[in-house]
Amino acid sequence: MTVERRETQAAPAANGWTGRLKREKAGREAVDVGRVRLLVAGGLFALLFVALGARLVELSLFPGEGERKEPRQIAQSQAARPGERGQITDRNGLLLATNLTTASLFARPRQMIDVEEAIRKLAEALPDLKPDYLRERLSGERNFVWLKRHLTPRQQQAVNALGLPGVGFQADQTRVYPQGALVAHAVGFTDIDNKGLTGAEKYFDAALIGAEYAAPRNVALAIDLRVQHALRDELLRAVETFDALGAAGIVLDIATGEALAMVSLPDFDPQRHARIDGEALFNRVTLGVYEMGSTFKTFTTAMALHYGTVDMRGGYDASAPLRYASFTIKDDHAKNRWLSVPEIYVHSSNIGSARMALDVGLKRHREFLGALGMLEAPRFELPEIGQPLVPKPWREISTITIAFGHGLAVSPLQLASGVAAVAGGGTYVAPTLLKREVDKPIASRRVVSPEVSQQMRQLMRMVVEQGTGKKAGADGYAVGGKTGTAEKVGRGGYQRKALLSSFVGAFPIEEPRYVVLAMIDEPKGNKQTYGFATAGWTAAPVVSRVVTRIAPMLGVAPSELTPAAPARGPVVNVSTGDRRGATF
Amino acid sequence: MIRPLTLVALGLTGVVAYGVYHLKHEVLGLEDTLARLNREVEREREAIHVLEAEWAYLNRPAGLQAMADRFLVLQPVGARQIVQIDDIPARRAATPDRWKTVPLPRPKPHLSAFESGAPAGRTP
Repeated sequence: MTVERRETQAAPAANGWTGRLKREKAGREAVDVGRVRLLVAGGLFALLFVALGARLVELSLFPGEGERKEPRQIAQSQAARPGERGQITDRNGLLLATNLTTASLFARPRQMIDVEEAIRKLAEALPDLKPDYLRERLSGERNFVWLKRHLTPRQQQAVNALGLPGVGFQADQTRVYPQGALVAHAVGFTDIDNKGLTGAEKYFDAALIGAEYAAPRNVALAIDLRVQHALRDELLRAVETFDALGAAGIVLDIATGEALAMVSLPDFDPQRHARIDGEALFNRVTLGVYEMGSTFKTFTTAMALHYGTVDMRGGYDASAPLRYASFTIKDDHAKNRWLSVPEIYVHSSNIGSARMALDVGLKRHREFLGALGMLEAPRFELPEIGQPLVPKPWREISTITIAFGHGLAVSPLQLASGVAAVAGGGTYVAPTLLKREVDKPIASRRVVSPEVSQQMRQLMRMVVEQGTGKKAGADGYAVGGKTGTAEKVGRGGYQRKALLSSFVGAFPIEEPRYVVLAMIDEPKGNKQTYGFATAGWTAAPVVSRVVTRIAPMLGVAPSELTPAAPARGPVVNVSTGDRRGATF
Repeated sequence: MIRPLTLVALGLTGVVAYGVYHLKHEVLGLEDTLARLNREVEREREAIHVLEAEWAYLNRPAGLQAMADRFLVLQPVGARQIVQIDDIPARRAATPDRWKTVPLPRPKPHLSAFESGAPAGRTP
């Protein structure tokens, strides 16, 4: 280039030469510009590619935080298996309701070659399908018919082996209740399309199914399967022993309001719910409302102590029956004298309780029972909730009768949570069927002072030590409670023979943690009870045995109030057939 | 005329093309494996699910109680079998030597019947 330039400078400027030179110069400049542009563009692209490469290396060598989190999160959360109804478990995660994949058998009649042969073979493979039913389903011009839902693997195998054309299987989900009748009323059941019909299955249907934007969730109930079994086992025995119509029982955690156990007898196997009568479906704990009888004196006494109309040293005259209008109130265990407050409670005096409530007054009586949740249906996570039967208008006679548990019908659940409030420190906690989350504050409202609650605990302990509830005394565990024997309403008023015997107790009574309620419907006395069917003979022993069984499970230490009987000699192995009699 | 740079570029293109093809092939194979593994995981999950249901069924408290009554020599824990830590007497400083020569207790008669395989409930 330098040579050329020298030439151009050296050569004399001729017109033709200069023109050519100018043009060449312009061309060279254009090429230079082009080169620079190319370089710039090339450099840019190179940079971008380097960036892409760097990102590629980064992604493959250092997996970012965001990419891997998801699967682990799903595994840990409460989400149900995708595309399935959520499971129901007890508080310890034991399965109460789950799903199994089954096959459902369908047919396409149009594609069938020999319908008669198919009917014969199918009826042979599945004996519960009658040939007439099959003929009715398979005849006609239908494109698709269900033949049988939810086949067992064995049945599916049998049908598959037939090799029939026009017959097929569709994967299906069926709801399974591994615990059978044990938690039947709490869990409930679903229909054939897995839609909740009763119990928790219905109440939590939306959560279990999930919605468009919400995945199906598993539900953990407050029920503790071990406690549930102990309660059901003992109630079943009581029903059998006393030839009763039914029974109900509940165990409540006082601090949290959780229902650890809830049993209503007779019960049913939710797997075969199509074949049960309404009596077994009826939930006596939450749906049934009953005049609970003397157990209500717990509330009457607590109320009188709360409003200060009488103190523990005070008392009332119970020497003569109380007459009001056409009613005469009498005592079952009549002492016919002046009774102190503890005596009224321990000997379950109707007259004394009625006078106690009259002293407090109608308005305050109703208010107090309202604060204990007796006057309205409790908020409980079941669709089967009974509305209490409250007298309207509330007259003087209502207060008199309700003082000893007649004239106001409440569900056993309400009674148990009311007693939990009175005995457990004086605050009312709404009962719940759902397992409480740890660290979540529990809503409660104060009903009576801790001092009144302490006095009530003393009274409840006295009932077990020297009153009507002696048989509720559990060996080694201090139980306090109250018996209640109500006459059921029948034709022509109250029936003397049809009783509703109940016992509601709290333990350990020094500082109650659990409330246990047992109620037996129309027990009949037998030789062991000397013909008595009252609560002290029928319901109280149930509570005693339930407490001895569940206290070790729940981590309740044996009480100093009732030192356990010292071991007498070597422990004899009681193993002659019926071990149930050896439970202590 | 083909310059050497072009030759190199062509060669590189070929190598890269083969590389990409090979990679894609490998990825396809891996994807197949992944799908198969996922299917297997799903099958295993389903099996676990069924086994969980069966486990729950076999562990029904009523069934366990019946079997415990029949086969075990155990009974529910009584209150007298539970003591506070403070009620236990303090431990002696050292075990005296003569204690070490004390023979082991004889096996209990009701336990030997159980260990020989006969159901506990049938011992006279």
